[in-house]
Amino acid sequence: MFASSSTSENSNLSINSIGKLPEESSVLVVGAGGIGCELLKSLALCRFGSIGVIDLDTIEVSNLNRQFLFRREHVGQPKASVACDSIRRICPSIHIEPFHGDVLTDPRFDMSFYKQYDLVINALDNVQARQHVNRMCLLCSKPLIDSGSTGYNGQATLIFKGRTQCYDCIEKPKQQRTYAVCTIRNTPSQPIHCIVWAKFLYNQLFGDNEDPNNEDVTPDSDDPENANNELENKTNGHHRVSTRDWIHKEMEEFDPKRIFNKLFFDDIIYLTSMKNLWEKRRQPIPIEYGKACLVKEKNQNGQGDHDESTMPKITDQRIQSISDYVQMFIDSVNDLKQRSDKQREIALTTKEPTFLVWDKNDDADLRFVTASANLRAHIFGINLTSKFDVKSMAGNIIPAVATTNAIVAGITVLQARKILATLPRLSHDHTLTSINHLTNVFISTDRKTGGIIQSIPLEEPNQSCIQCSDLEQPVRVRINMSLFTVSALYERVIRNHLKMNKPDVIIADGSGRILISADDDEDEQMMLKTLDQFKLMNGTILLCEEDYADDTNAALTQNMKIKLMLEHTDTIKDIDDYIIVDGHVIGEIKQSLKRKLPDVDNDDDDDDDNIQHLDDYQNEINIVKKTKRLSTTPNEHNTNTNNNSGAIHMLR
Amino acid sequence: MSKSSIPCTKQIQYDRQLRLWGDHGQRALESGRVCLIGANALGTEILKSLVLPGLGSFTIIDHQLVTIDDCGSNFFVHPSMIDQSRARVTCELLTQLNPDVHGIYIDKPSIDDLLQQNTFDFSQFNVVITANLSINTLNILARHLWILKIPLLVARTYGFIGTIRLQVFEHYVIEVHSDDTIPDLRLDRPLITFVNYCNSIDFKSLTREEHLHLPSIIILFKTLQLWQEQYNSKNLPQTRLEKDEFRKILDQLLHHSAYDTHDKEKLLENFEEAKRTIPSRLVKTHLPSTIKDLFQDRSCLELSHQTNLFWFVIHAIKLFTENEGQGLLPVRGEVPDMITNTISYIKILKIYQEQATKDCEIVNKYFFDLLQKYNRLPDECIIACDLVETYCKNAAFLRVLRTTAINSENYLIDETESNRSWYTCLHLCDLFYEKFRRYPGEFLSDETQFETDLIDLKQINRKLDSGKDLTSDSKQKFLEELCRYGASELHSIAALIGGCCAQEAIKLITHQYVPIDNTLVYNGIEQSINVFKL
Repeated sequence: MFASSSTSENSNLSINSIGKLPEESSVLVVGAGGIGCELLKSLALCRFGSIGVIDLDTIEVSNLNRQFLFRREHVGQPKASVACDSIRRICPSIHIEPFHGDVLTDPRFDMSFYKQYDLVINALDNVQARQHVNRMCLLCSKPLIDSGSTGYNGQATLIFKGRTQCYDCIEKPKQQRTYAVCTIRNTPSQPIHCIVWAKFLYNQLFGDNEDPNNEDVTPDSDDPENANNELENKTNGHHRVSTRDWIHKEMEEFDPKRIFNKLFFDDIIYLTSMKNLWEKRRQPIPIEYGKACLVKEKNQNGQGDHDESTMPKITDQRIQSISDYVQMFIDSVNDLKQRSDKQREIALTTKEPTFLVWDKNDDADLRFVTASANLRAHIFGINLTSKFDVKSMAGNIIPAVATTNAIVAGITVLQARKILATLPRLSHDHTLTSINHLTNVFISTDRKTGGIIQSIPLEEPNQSCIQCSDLEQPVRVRINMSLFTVSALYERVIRNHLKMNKPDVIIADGSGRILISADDDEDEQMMLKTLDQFKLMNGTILLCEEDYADDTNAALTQNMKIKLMLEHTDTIKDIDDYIIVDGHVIGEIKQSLKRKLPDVDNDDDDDDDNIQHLDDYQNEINIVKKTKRLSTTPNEHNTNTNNNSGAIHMLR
Repeated sequence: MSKSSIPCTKQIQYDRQLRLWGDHGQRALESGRVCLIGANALGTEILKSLVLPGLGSFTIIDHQLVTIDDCGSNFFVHPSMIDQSRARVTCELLTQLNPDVHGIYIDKPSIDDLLQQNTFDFSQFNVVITANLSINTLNILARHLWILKIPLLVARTYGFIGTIRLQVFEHYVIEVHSDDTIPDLRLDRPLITFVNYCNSIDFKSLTREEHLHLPSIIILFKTLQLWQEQYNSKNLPQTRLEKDEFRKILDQLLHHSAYDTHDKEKLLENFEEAKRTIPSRLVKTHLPSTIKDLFQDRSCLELSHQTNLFWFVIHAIKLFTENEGQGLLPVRGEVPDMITNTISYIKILKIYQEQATKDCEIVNKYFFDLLQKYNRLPDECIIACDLVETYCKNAAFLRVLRTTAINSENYLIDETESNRSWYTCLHLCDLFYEKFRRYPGEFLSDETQFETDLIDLKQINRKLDSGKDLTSDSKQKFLEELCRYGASELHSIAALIGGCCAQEAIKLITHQYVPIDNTLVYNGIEQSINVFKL
């Protein structure tokens, strides 16, 4: 029972000392936010030998109610470095190193980076980054503590590769709920639908036009519910101009009133023409600019105070009248147009983007979404939402308070110490029982009695988890993501090296996006795009999956899955160059493929040489050298990358 | 990207927590006054979690000087501050966390002298917090605060064990923030204005459009009227059979002459919602037992010049319930979201709000009559004016928490829960301290002293158990473990208990959420917390 309480800064507590002492260990903390600040303080005072801190963000005013390593004068500075400075001031002897960068995309954070540490602690606020660190820790066999908090609730869960559930073993409820496109564009019924629409609208008007996720906001006549209305669609074809195209024309003379009428009158009239949609719904009522200015009506939502005389609330929490929202819309559109023009100017001379990015903490951005969402809500007879609530709904704002973070961090650091005490045993005992004195901890501080902390026993991994069940090593390919194209990936890596014919290539980042589909013909435009345009990043795993029909028995199909891990490097300058980091994995894959499909493999001698070649190189330096040689000698380059005499002939 | 001007720094700084306790909670916190005794790691962690969210002011009482040990566990001291006043340096660093918070310190005289002199005014505080205070001092302080009726939070960390004990004479919880609130719609005891409005709607003459947007609550009430007529009943459908009949009637109302056959096969959204919400809308309206208990409380029945205003409001609500309310509480005046158009929704909302305002005015009148009758000061009445509305809205959830006094704790009760044993065993360490002026295992001169300390500790245990010597094996182990800790302060345990204790202080200051009743023990060995009553 007391074995775990072994190591400590106090001599009284280290009598039964076993395992690794905090002083000798190094910890990576990902995130220097609410929990991150608390963690760093506790880790430092518990005398952890070495600490690394990754954070992408800069300090904001709304951080100051809990992120105590920061002061008002630090607003705008990187969290990671300010946090480290604050810690050093109190504990001058500590070795603590800041990394200001995105854990998802920064090439510094590759496998060798993670391998420097004994333990990784997540103090993140989003699912995507958590999933990424989870994956990296699985690959590097590093123990991970995932900590988090929402309001009065929090958790600290332990993840050990192959022994416990990993972060992805249980499907997470989607953090950002997605809504059907038709609901957003045609038939909103809740305030959130209008808010999502307003955020889309912002991107259409001021956002990144190149972004494929930038959704159109005009009525969608492809609505399945509108199936019988085809004739009408054709007659109204001219309405199907997207807002973006329309705005491009309009931007020249830029008239906010005209934008207003297009969005809240013309588009709505068009929507009402899709009669099928309104059979059992209330039809939206278009409103023209002139008339809207006169609507003093306040349409209120269900919660909170309603009588103004007894409403001591801040203006932001109040519902305003439609005419107020019209004014707010016009003002914010003007403000943003000005800013957008300025941004484009700045972009000419700097590396800054040419477009605006919506930010919940920016007043004009928030006013625009509040006004647009409420005007649309009015048209559709939906309850209005105050600016305060819009901010929380549109910005995915998670309530946060210092007390919960302090508790979560306190527990997490204690968990960290227990893991370190267990580390030596972990290396030769791979069962769950070696760590079953550890638990997952969940907290909720608003509870009346008991249950403030709940310890839940660790659970075995989910056998079908895509991230951790298949512990086969991925094939690691080192490329320059901003040069390497999808086409090169497909032709050179997947077809040539993995010997796959036409697999589904799925991006295994939890999004379920498919990069290349086995069923569809490739879009040439798409194939010529570089990988970074798909927001693929360092460490992204691609799951290549293909079914092979068995020639002798049509009913038998073999399923083949290969994991491909992309590693980014700036040192490769040639667009076609790539490095297979660990060639022996390919050898293994080939062996297993041979076992699966004994017939298809015979005349592969020269290609075998090729792979064997890579196999011989034990360390990466040699391989890099080889690439350098390859890139300067075109002949050899060709023999390596254009060798299409496939080792295993795939059946077409 | 350029940023437009910031509307209100404070609003932004506290944005994330306003979403938990609201503006009024924040206002209460900003006028809150806290006294901390003991600026050790635990004490400063507690204050940190109160200063960051914007507490009004704090006073640190601590006469000790910073030692090298402090630097190892306390984030708010620094090796360069050794031998300086611990109260002063921690006060300075803590106020730096948030310029809005006012902090003062008292490093002379010591807390013991302050209590002995009995000149220091503890009644200025909303809550007094102690961090690892020795038992003798705590007992005197606890007695003193019990008489003053000032809440006391006793926080403690001891190796891997942490405890919090709340002593409060009487604490009022105004907003419980319960997850499972059923809307106060009273379809079984409908408001007259609501009945009139429903009766003004004739199903048969509704246009198709109106029928499509009929709010589900009206659909339910219309159905109920028809059902009651059919069954010659005044109640809600209760048996399964009755509920089935109710649904049948609802289905009949669904049809409208303007719909074609195609329409009839589809379910309408508002009718769908009506069906779905039957369990939460068709509920019997009654007087909750929690408020019934408050009505029967002696403080409510025997108002006096000294009684807290809380009881005056409760008494006023009681009078309302007995008279105008016809056995029910004032209407809450909230209507849940429903699928309908704006105009219909506002119409219904207004009906409930108007009734809520009317009810509240009546309570207010009772309240002022009571204040006059008991000669309460007029300025109190002004403060109280806002209160009545909040109380009426939360009437169904109002609660009073009264804990036992610390001085009446009985350690002899033998415990079944292991975490409770820890609390008892810590008390033994306190008794050890009383005797030897140090904790068992603390300041060890050599290995053998650990053994003698343990023997002494067991001796004290036997004495307390009135010589029974039936100490269980687990208790032996606990004592050994505590001896091993030697009263050491672990930072991560201090951070955790600090967070928990600050949370309890915020509950006490804001009168939101229910505080612990009355002792919490955290066990870092097993990562578990138990809350129990002493």
